[in-house]
Amino acid sequence: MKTQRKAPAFGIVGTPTETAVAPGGQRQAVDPATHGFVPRERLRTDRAGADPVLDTAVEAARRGDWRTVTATLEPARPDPDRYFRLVADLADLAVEDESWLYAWLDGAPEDANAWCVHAHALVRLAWRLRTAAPAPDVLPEQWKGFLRVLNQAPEAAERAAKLDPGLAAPWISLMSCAQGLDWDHDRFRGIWAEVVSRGPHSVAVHQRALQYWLPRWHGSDELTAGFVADTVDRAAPGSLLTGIRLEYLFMERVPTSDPQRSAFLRGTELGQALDAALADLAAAPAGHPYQARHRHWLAYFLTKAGRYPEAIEQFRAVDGFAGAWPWELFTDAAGTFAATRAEAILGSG
Amino acid sequence: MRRYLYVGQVLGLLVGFYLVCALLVGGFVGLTVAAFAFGGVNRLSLLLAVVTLAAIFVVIRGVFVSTHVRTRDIVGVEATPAAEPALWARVRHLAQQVGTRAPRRIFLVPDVNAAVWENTRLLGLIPGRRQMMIGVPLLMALPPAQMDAVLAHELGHYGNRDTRLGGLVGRARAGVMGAVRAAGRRRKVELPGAVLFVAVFRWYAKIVLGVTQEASRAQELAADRVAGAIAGRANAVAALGEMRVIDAAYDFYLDRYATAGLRIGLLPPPPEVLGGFTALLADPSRRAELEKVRDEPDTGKSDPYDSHPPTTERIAALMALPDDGVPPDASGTRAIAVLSNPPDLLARVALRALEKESAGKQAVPWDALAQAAGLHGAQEQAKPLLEVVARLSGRPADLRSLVDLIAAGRFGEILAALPQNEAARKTGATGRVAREHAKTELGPMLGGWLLADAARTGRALWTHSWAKTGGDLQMAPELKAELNAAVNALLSVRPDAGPLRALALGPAVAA
Repeated sequence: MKTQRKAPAFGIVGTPTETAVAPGGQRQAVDPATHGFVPRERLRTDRAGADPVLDTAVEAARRGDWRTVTATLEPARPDPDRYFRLVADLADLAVEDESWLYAWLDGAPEDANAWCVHAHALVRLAWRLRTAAPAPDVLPEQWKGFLRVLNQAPEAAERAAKLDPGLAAPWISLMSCAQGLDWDHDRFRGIWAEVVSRGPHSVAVHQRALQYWLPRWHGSDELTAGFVADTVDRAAPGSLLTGIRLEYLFMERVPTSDPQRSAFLRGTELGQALDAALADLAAAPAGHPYQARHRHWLAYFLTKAGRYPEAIEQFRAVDGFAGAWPWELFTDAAGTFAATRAEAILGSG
Repeated sequence: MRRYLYVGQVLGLLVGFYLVCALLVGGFVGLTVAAFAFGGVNRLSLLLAVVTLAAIFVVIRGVFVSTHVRTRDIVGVEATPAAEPALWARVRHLAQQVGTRAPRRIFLVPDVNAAVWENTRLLGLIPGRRQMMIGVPLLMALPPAQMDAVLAHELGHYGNRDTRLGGLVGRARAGVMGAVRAAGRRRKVELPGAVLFVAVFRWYAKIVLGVTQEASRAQELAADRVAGAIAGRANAVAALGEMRVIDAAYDFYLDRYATAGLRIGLLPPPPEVLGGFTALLADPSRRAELEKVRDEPDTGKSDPYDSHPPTTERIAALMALPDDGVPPDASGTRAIAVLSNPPDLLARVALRALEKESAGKQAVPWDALAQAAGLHGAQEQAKPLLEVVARLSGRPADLRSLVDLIAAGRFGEILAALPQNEAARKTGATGRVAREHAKTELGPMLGGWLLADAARTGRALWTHSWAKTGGDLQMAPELKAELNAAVNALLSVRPDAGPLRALALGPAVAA
């Protein structure tokens, strides 16, 4: 740690987020480059990790070459997680510019891939109109746009499901519709039965369902906790479904203020969840579509739990990318990523 | 003995008020004189002279002008004994029962209010001529027995069998508050140092109000008891509870009905301007709404200087009295029946209240008002879109130019040209997100446009409704569905102007 500079008491060295409080209590600046990390300015926030297949599809979409897009999606169909990742990222692209997607829908109206992307693009577009703000802060016009757009998504998802009944992706989009359009528990459970049979070990499937069951949407503390426990119980080793529990802890369990917060972060509930998630990762096949995302969660929580060397290991594995949860749940994803990384570097020094 | 001491204290405070004022003025005069005597004419002495003049002005205004309510300031119509013998008989009867003087004049005002006041002199030391105002909304809303309770309470403020010195306390409070108000009133020219005198007045007023607070509250409760004894406990309680409800209903009535057409130059016929309130109160769905207001807990906080204890407390005090067996007035008639010609009087009160606003306004029946307001509302809603279409097409905006623009692939331009909503501004929305936010705004604009077109061609009509503000829209369900479908198709994520085109080219809309 020779290169570390001492920061003046109230001054800032480097970018503010690249400073962290060292275990001694001193705020210090960290230069990620000296530790072999990609600096904050060059972090990619559009990706959770390297994904050449997705790159190909996105490039093709930008060119308006939907034939290449659909050809890229085709081989991913048997793996619900892989397929959904491609669909979701292409959908995000279609939220920015829909022309290539509409050309695709018009050129190949019977292509389930196109309808999957279309359905999910409407979900994403609707949430962009609403924003992730807590319900009382959402403006009336945001609700209007959200509901108008989201109400058009089920039809597109149902069409995709009809064109290829084996796909889980349209049902995942329908779970989002259920969440946003206030569909009742029975209706949601109907969708759940369909989707879980198509992706019993799919991370994407369980992530979506977790949102629906959160107390802030349509569930309750008990329903969420029950869902998470059930998911972890059923999870096959290497499925990475243990990541669902980390998400749940982040959203519902971590106290917002000290000393409860520190106690929780160093406590056994999180410790056991992290151990299970690490074991799950070790058992996961190389190239699991949610591997990088799983590592982002680990990097965050291992740092917060004070398990710095283990955290550094995860930061190394996802180096260069900050486009994933939990970072995206903060206003400045790259900044939060870099700050947490600095914390881990200082801690492990 | 204690009572005499108390009277002495109140009198002392009132006299003290003059002393304070005299000291203030005297002190400044003395200072000014001294400044001129020893320093001659310089900046300080001139400044002191100005401040002294200000002090004299404020004090005189506060002490001598304050409590006088000028008759011309009353926005109301006088009800003379000759014109309204029944009303006067009722008021005199009530005053006699209360055991106090009847007022010399009665005014009918357009507010949810009833009051008796005196134009006292010297901060209430000298009693003055007694006057009464009665709000016509109360006459329209309350049954006679409850109106009696309200008026008996007001008369009870001026001495009753329970509190002999009530008159003095009431006048003192009104006088001091009036002085504070008069001194603090904003004027075009702010006198230097005026703030200081206002602060002194306030400080003194606080003391006076503090000393008289308890007596004043006791007097309010005593006035309630008098009201209960005269009109029956049940009616006094009902009247108290009703005030809040009538207030809410009347505000709503004025805003949504009586003056709703003012912006487009229309008023209901004069007797109906205020008289419509009776009809609103009689409407079944409005009655149900008011029932809900009645059931809500009263959360109104009372002003620290308000002599009235909170309504809940007053009702509780009345309910603690033994049941007098007088049933609540369920006659179905309203107190306004006591007037000799209610529509005529209501018309005169309304004209007096809207003296300025009604100039140049046309009086039309409620249905015509609803139709004009409905059409105007629809046109206003459509306006921003019409402006954009006119600008982009270079033609007068009609539906035809709109569909032509869309057919030419310029829908995106239209969306971009519409005023941005707060959501889009706040999030810095671009691209598809910005377009969807714009569509959220476009929806009601286009809806208003189509509706206005339908109304102009006689296919849509608004009729007056007491149950629905803005009136009842009469339109064939098929047409309604057709218009909605055209708007929704254009607002879809893949906009479809087909149904709108069909509407625009349809023969009926061509006009």
